Amino acid sequence: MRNERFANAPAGEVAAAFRAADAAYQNDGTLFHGADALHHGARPPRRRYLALWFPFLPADRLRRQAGVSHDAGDIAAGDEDRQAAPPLVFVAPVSGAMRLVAVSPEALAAGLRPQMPLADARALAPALWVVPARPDLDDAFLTRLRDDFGRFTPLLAIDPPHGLVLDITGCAHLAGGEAPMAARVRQRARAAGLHVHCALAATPQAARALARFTLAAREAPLIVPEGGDRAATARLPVAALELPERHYRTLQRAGLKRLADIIDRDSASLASRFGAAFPALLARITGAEDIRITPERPPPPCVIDRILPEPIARQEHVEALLAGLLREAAQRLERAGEGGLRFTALFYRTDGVKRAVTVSVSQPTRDPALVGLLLRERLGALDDPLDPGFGFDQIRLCVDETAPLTAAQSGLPADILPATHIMEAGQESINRLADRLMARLGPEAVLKLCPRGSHLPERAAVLRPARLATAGAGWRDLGPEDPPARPLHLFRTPQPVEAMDAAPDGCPLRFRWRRMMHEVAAAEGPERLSPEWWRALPAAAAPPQGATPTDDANTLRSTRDYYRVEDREGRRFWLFRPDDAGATPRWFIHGLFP
Amino acid sequence: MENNFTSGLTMTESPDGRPPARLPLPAPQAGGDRRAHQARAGVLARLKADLALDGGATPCGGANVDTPRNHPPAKARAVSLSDQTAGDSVSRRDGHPAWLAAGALHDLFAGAADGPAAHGFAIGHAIRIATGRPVVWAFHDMAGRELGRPHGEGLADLGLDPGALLLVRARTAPELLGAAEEAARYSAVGVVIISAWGAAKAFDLTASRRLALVAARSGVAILCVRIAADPAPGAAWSRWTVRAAASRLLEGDAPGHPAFSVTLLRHRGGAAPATWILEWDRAQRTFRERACR
Repeated sequence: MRNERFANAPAGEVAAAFRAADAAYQNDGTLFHGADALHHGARPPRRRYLALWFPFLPADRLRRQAGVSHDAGDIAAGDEDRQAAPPLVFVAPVSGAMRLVAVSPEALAAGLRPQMPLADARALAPALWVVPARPDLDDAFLTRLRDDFGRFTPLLAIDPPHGLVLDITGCAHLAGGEAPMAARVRQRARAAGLHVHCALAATPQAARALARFTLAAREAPLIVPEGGDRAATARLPVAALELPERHYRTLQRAGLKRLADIIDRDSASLASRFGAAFPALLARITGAEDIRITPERPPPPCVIDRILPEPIARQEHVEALLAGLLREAAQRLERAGEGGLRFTALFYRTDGVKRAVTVSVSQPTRDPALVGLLLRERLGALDDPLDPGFGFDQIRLCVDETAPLTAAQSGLPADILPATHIMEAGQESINRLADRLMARLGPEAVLKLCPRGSHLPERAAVLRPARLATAGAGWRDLGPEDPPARPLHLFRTPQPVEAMDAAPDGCPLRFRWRRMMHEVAAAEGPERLSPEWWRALPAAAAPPQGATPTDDANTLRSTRDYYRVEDREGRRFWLFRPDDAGATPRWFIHGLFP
Repeated sequence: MENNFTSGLTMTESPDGRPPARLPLPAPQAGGDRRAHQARAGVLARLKADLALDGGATPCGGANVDTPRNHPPAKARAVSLSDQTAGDSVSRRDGHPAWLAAGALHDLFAGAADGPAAHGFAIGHAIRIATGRPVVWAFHDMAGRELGRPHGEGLADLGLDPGALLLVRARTAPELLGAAEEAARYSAVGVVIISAWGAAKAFDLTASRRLALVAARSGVAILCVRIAADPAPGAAWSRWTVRAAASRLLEGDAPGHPAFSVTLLRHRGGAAPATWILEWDRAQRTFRERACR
């Protein structure tokens, strides 16, 4: 825990900050609103949004990719540097002609603009670096940026094109206030080699408009003081409304140049001319109406962060940090009377890569030792181990899914004993075993058999992940002296066999399966199983899940005559013949008896 | 843990009146003098048993008493009923080596075509040993592909409650062994069945020894079914090959109850190699011995 020092706030404050964020979301079904809303007063804080816009995102992406390193200072470097690089433009075919869709700062300085035909651009700047536009790569890059900027707030969304919106309500004081917070966000983007405009306002739309349509947002974060949104946005050009081209031209022709010119107009007449949504759009941009952003993921019920002043890379430090986070999560869950079902640890690397590790438990728990053990198992079982790179500078623990857990759970010290320790009996420890195996092998590798009350063998018993298993109908009873009527092993897709010497209505005397000839010594049958007609229609429309729509799979849709067959070696098989109209009966093997 | 396994000899011949050693296997990691002493007592007892065996006992005879045993509640009835049937209940003879012991590792080998038979034999023992406790069945994906997936109704037809079964799928042999070892550490588990397909380097002496030690310490029986693999030495308490055997036909020439031809290759209790034909009796939860035909 030596490295566990915190940037501008001690541990308690970091947690308190996220409690504040939680409290702010008390109307959104967040878990901890009860206690924390009291703690922070009844009035929810006014929301604050930070909009980021990367005006040269494709060019910046290409530069990063090409390995041209940028410091924050490089971007702001003098003109001689800028002129050294050839103008870079991204082109795509637009209605039959190659047109620029994005440009670099150098190209912009050379007078090149998006939408310009490539031929015109070449005329303006003969030494042109032309690259096909790759919106998919831009989007992927933006997604990575979003994941990385998730370190500042759990609530953020991509704001297309080439932008992000961060809801920093209740998080700003982590960095020492709104201005330092915005400066840190900006600094992070610059350090990643990105040109960025940022603005902070009371609604996402106001912040977006200010970031994209003011020059002030380019040089430094533009921060609109609380209540100043209307005044700040009034100076924006009407283009900030991002209206369709014809509406924009209508406004221009009427001489309405700035938002100030239309803010005070009668909303009914605006609505009649520009559509019913226009007054609402105007209200959002001027900060009068706040519709929240839709974050990529709903915020988890419980989030705890550690922001580290210097990155940590050693495993024991990471584990110690996680243990602390888990203890804190346990306290918060206990106060809420909840237990966690799914825990995610997020590791933010200094170079902007985020890695998430998730573990699930079958019963709600808040035992830090147990969850820590599962996380360690999961980390140990990763196909590509957690690579700290130059270190993690932030670690976050999310409890993604919770369930009520009122009774105080006694500790299970046995679970943290060394691997050679023997667990004592009890149903509890079976669930713990399932959890540990799931953490190691993945949730789909630990299965239970669930009865489904069907007479068809392939539907009668289903394998389900142990944590989803439910008790269904009971299992069929067999007479005490009857031999097993159903095989121990069942093939998902029946396997065809080559049957010989079969009587027209009887079992074959010999059959060949997997290149081996089996002489039938005894047989019992037929047992006729008909398809479930009440399910037949939908089943016929779509092949059964996981099966390929081959002929073999189709055999499961017809009436089948089953035979229990024993060969001369004493091996027992479950053969069937689909009752189809074919001239030569086909035979399949569906299961194997012991 | 009631009477899951008590060594017959150590029970009657505790050298110094202390409680008998719980484990017939030496337990090198036993903590404290007392446990070390008990482990030594266990070794002594086994040596004595070996001597007794040399004195002319048959593999099926009662002299072979060091086999750890399990006494399911149904046992007494099984004895009386099986007397009336043609078969001879294996459970009648406490020392029968085919009566696989709890708290030990047993290797079952089978050819590719005898996989279901080996599984049936293992499940029969699991039903017998677990007596209602959960059974963990760890299987290699390859075994699932070749033999088909375990079928709930078929398990129920053998007498195992499918709800008490936890299935674990493993993609590789090391994963399989790791999962089995993990499961065997939980003494709440009755039996761990491992289904492996083919020869794998991971199944070496070290892995075998690890499993045997865990089984001895937790009291869980580990049945390691290796299909399409040749018998190989290991630290298992007993080593078997299992083949399917023709069943006693029912009326109308219908195939009868599951029958197995099992061959004992090696037994640490000292039983001599031999072959038995066993038939699974679901009602009595026991195997009945049948004359070879």
